[in-house]
Amino acid sequence: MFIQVWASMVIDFSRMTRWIPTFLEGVGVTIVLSLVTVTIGSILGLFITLLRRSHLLPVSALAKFYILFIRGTPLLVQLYVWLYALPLIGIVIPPLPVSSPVFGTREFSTAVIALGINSSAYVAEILRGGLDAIDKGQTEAARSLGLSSRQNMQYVVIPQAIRIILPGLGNEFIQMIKESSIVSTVGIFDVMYTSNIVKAGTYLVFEPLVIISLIYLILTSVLTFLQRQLERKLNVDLKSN
Amino acid sequence: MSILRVINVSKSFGKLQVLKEINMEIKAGEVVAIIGPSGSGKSTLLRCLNSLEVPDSGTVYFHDTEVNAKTQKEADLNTVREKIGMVFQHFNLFPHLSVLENITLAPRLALGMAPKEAEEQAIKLLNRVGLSDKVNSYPNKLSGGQKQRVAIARALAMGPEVMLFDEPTSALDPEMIKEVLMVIADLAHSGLTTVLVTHEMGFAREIASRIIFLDEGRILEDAPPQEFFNNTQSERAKIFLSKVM
Ligand SMILES: Nc1ncnc2c1ncn2[C@@H]1O[C@H](COP(=O)(O)OP(=O)(O)OP(=O)(O)O)[C@@H](O)[C@H]1O
Ligand SMILES: [Mg+2]
Repeated sequence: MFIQVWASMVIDFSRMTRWIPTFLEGVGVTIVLSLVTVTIGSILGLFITLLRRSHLLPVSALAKFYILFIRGTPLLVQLYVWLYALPLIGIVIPPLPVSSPVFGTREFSTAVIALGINSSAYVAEILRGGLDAIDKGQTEAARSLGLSSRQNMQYVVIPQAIRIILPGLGNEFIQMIKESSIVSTVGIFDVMYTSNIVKAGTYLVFEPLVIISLIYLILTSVLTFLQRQLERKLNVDLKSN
Repeated sequence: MSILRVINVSKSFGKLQVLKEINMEIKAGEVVAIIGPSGSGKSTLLRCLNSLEVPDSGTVYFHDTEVNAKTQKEADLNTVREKIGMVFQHFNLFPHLSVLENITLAPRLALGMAPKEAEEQAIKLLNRVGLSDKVNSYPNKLSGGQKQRVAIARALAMGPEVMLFDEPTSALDPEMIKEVLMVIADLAHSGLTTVLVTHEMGFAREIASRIIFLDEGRILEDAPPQEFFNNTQSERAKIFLSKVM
C-alpha cells in the first residue's frame, strides 16, 4: 500500500518554475524582516546590557528578569501575545505607514516588535559574553593610569569586545533567518508562507517544501560564509595587533 | 614628606581577613620592598594604595587626599591615580594597541596631552627601557620581559610621583628577569619613589631603602635591608627567609 503510494507519487519540479517570483518575494520579506529585527534587537539589547550593568540593584534585576523571561518562553508564544493578547488590554502595534500589502499590515509591524524584543535578549547575552571575555586586568590597567570608567569602556574594553561581539551578532542574524519562519503562522508572506501559497496553487506538497528548504539552506550558508570571512578578518586583525 | 599613608587599614574577602590594621608610610624618594609568604596580603595592600581595592576600614592618603574608589568623586580619584603608576605581574598591556599607542593612550585621554607631544615622550621612554625598536610592534609580538618594560614605560608616561610594582618579574622566564630588574633599579636610583612587591630577595636587598615583611595581613618587620636581613626580629620572618634564600 505504502509502496504503491510511493510509486504513484510523481515529483515534478517543472511546475515550480512559474512560482519562482513568489518564492523570491518571500525571500525578500524574510531578509527584510530578519534584518530589521536584528537591528532593533541590537539597539534594544545594548540598552538592556547597560541596564543590567547598572549599579542600582532593582534596575539590573529588572534587566536580568527581562532576559530570563524572553529567553525562557517560546518565540511563537511571544508573537501570539503581542498579536492577540496585548490588544485585549489596549496595547496594539500600529501598522507601518507604507502601502505595501506585506509590510503595511498590523501583523508585520507586530512581528517586527515581537521578534525584535526576542532578539534583544539574545543580543544582550552576546554583549555580556563579549564584555566578560575581556580580562579584568585590562580595566585595572586603564583605571590605574587614570582613565575614567567611560574612557576605559570606549578605548580599552569595547574595541576588544567588538571582535567577539560582531561574529555573535552575525550568528543571531542567521538564527533569525530561520526562526522568523514562524511569522508565516500569522499570515506574513515570508519564505515559509510561500510554500503554503504554492501548495494551494498546485496541490503539490513535496516540491515547495524542498524548494524553501533549499532557499533557507542557501541563505544561511551564504551568511555563514560571510560570517566566517568576518571572523577571519577580525582574528587576523587581532593577531597583527 | 610622606607621599602615601596607610592608616589602620583592614580588608577582608568574605570570611578571610587579608589585611589587619595596617599602618604604613611611604616617603618621597623611598624605595620600599614588600615581601612575605604567598597569600599574606602583599598584592591587596599594594592595590589599596591606588584604590583598586577599597579597605573595609581605615584610610589611605595620597599626600592629603583620601584615596577611596567608593566615596571619592571619580574625577578626583582619577587625578590621584594619574600620580600613582602601577605595574602588574601579568603586564596587562592593551593587546589591540601598538606599543606606542599603549604608552600614549593615557597621557592623551587623561592629561589631554597633544598626540605629537605624547608620541615624542613615548619614544623617549621606550629609549629609556631599551625598546626604541619596538615602537610600532603589537604586544603579542613581544617577549615577556619586553612587555613588562613597555608596561613600565606606559606607567611612567603619566609622570607619576610614585610607582607600584606587584611582582613585576614573577611571570617572566628566568633569562628575562634581569632586563626588567635593571629598569626598575634605574628608576629607583633616579630617585623615583617606589613600592615593590617581590620575591627577588637579592634585588630587594640591593635597591630597597626599607623592607616591609608582611605575614597573615600584619606588618611584622619594617626596617632597612641590612637590619632586616642581618638582624631579623620575628620568628616568622626568619622561617620565611630560610625558605627563600
Ligand atoms: N578579589 C579577591 N577575592 C577573594 N579573595 C581574594 C581576592 N584577592 C585576594 N584574595 C585572597 O586574599 C589573600 C591575600 O591575597 P594577596 O593577593 O594579597 O596575597 P599576596 O601576598 O599578594 O600573595 P602572592 O604572593 O601569592 O601574590 C589570598 O588568600 C587570596 O586568595
Ligand atoms: Mg600577590
